Amino acid sequence: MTAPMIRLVNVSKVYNSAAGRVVALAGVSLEVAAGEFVALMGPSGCGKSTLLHLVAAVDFPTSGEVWVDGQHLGRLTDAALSRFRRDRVGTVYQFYNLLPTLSAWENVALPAILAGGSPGEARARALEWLRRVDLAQRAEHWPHELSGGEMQRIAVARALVNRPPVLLADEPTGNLDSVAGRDLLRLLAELNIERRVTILLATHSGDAATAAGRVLQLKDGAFMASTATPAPR
Amino acid sequence: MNRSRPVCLARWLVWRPLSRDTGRCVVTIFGVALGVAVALAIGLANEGVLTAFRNGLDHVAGRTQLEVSAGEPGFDENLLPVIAETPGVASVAPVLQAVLSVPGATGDAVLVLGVDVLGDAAFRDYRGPSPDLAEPLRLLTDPDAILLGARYARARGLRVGGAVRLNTPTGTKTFTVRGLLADQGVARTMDGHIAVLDIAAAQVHFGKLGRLDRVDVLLQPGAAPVQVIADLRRRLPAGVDVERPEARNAQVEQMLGSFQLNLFVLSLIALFVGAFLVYNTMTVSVVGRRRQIGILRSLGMSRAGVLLTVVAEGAAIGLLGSLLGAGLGVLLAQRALQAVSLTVSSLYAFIVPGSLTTPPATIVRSVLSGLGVALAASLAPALDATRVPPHRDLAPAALERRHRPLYPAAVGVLFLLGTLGLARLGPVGGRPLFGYAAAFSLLLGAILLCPALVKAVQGGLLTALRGSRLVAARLAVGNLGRALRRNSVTVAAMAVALSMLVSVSTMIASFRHTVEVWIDQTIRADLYVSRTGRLIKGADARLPGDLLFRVRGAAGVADADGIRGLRLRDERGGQFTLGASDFDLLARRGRLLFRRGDSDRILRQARARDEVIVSETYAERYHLDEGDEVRLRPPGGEARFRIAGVYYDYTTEGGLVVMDHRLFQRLWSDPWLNSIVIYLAPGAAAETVRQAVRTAAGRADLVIFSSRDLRRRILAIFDQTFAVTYALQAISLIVASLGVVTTLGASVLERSREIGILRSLGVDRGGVRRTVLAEAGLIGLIANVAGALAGLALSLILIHVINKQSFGWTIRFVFPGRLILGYAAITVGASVLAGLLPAWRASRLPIADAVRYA
Repeated sequence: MTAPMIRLVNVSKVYNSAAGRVVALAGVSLEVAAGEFVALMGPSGCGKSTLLHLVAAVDFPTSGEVWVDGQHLGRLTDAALSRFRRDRVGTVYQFYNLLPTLSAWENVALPAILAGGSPGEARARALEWLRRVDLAQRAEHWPHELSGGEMQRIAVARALVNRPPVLLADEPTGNLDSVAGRDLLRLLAELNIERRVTILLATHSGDAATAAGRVLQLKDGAFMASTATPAPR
Repeated sequence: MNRSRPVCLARWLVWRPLSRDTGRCVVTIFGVALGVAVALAIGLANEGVLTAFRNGLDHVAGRTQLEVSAGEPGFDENLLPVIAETPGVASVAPVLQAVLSVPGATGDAVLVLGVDVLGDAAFRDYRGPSPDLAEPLRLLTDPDAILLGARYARARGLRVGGAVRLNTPTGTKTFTVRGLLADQGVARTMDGHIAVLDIAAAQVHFGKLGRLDRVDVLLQPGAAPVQVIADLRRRLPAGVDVERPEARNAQVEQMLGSFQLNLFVLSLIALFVGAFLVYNTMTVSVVGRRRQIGILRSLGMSRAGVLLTVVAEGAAIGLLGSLLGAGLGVLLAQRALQAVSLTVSSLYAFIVPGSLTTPPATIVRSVLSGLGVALAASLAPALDATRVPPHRDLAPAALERRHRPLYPAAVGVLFLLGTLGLARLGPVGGRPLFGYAAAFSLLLGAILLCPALVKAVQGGLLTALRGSRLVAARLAVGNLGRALRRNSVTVAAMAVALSMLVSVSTMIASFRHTVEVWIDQTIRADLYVSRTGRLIKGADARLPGDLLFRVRGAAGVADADGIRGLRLRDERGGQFTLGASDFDLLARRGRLLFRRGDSDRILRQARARDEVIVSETYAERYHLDEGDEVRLRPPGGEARFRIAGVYYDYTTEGGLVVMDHRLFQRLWSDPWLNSIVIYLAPGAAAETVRQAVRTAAGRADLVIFSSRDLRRRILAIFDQTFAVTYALQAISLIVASLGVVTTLGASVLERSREIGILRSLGVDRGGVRRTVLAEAGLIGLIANVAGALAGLALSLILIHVINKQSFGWTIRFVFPGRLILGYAAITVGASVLAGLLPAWRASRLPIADAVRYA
């Protein structure tokens, strides 16, 4: 068996706030194989988002190790982390987080340009991705002219434009109506198979979880034993 | 899409957000532009004045290598052969030189050179459409023939063969224009306000028969100037100086320098406040876009990339503002040059500035300074931006970094203590450099104390308003503390602008009051007679001494005193004025304000013991006190005089030494007067006597002031001197007010969600507007308190350190209560006005959009 794409070893995350210590993750271990589609389920505050943040290298564990694509994130320099975020993971958020001052294609092209691509090449790739998510006709539109479902599909295109091996999706359907939500999940599932991109999806909706190959239940910062199945395939 | 990567990123990440936020950007760009414009305008005006002044001297000096002179009295023409025969001297040119006023036109004057028309071309360049120095006989044979600067002649519609009238010490004379001098060489002096005549004729017209003002010297090739200077000094009598022409500039330039330095420092205030504005705007921009910066970071943008993005935004604002400011500055400079040269002409030296020159280097420098200031000001917000974590869920409360006001406050106190130390140090090379440092340190201290002040006021108000039903006020006070740093920056920017305004106004008001008191206590005579040229600094305004007898004979005149003011130079070339007056009459009827002692007693004692009195400025300049000795160099020897008293004087730059007229006549035997003061007989009407004096004097070029006219005239010069200063202050205040607009704009932006919630809970639009306006008013109020306190402290430094060390005047501090209240009303009003737009925007926020957290 090849090395897992995502590996968490005994990871804890504790926040110290004015209200006291909050344990977001309590010694979690997890392995996700390359090309797997895993859904993390659980109620609000169970630690799903925190786990995703750690894998995206936008936050860091209090203890334990996070490995992604063979790299130990705790050992990367700030510059290497920036590169990692740019090239190795793509993230889709509940609130889309498109830059309001960039058009649809520009939003998609931005990570490619940040990665050093020429604007011309980045535009070509962005348009190709927009076609893939069925939004080619929206390329020149501004975010505020788009529906939630459209914005989220653009966010997916942006997340994948640099061809990262890992896609993180944090409640991507949380702000969408049921039709748009189902469309998005179908898109994610297709991309998982078509591009062999490893997907980690955080959601509290059972519907959303059905798209995944494996479902993990998270509660109070730990996996519930019954769902902590090993990686299949 | 063949644009390169950086251009594309700059367009997307810098230009787009900028152009989206047009309002704030325009405000900031305008603020920077004003700052750059003011600094550039004053810089150009200063350069223009200095160039005019230097040109005046340089073109007249021509190829002259050494100058022999003896101040205003000049020296005997028999010294000419002595100079010419000194080893190393190749040739000599005698010169008489005077600035003569033109009848009828106030302020119009011409520099008149009396030269040896046969030999002078070796020293100076004279060229013209009609080069009459080539046929000098016309000038030699006709004592009323002159050559006139072509530029001046053109401006006045004068032609060759026409007549020009000039006020000379011997009366108003009509000269015939025999030729015009093209705009080259000598004729470039004073923008062409120049006339040349034969020296013998000049001696007659200037009342200087047998005397010379100056002898210009050319050296033999290989002669060492230092050696020739030494030889000449040995051969010439005391009081006659030899120096290089450029040394003559140094003295006036030093006085001009203090004046210009003060203006320049003032002009930087607006730029300084502009820097605050950029800082403010960039902070606002970073706070407003933290979420976007977070997104960029999560997309893999490095910290350096974020830093670059924000700094680039600041640079874009700085560049646009600076370019606009450069254009605006050139436009303003013309006005500034007129205003500054008017002041310089009435205080330091008569100059006629040419048309404004705008050296590209100066413009580029000002654009770079604006850009640099903007870059520096955006660095801190940019560094802040790099600390934005690449998170997605940034709660609004976390938008501003926590700020602890005590640490900066402690540093601020250190700066204030430093101010006390710096204010005690003396001048450096005649410049109050430590005084400026003290002022700067005081301002820095005040800025650093602002957050603590805001926090303290906010805390106090919060307690006071607890349980109150003034919801708008409570929300406003709460908001003030939430974005402590940004609000502190705005408060600091306004407070700095205000403190400068308060301090300079306090200084000027105190100065004006001091001068008024001084006038009221010292102006005792009823009428003052002088020549019109008196109104132009450096113009020849001598009156013949016998005029005094004619005036005394006029009906209604009880007493009259002839005042002489002779411009002399000390051993080091410094200019001062030697005054002479009838001390007996002055003791009986007039009054001087002495630093110590009684006017009557001091004057009588000085008269009886052949002592002198000196002005405070003179005492300060030469570090002298009552009882010390003054060394003077009357013709034919050196003499020492004990100082009987030091008196206050606010009319003469450079200082005055005054002696009794009899002593003066004994030593200088000078037949001239500068003015005559008249005491009326009991019951005589001033207007009648004025006419009688005019008739008795028999000349047209006299001005006869009543004491009230004189008072008005002195105060008019005073106000004109500070006109530029007032304008500079007003502009700084405008720039600071712009800061309130940007701050409140950001506050509304940041709180749009909260405002939406309030509105959804039923707070009406008026309530939202009142909250934002109350916040604006509070910022203005706190800034006023801080500004007034810092300003009063600053005014003490201005009055007792900077002014004292620059000019030597004693100014009595007057507390400008009404002024401060006036500023408070204006600035709090301006703040509230500045809050109107954000308040309106806040009340218009669509509730649904604001509440939806997206």
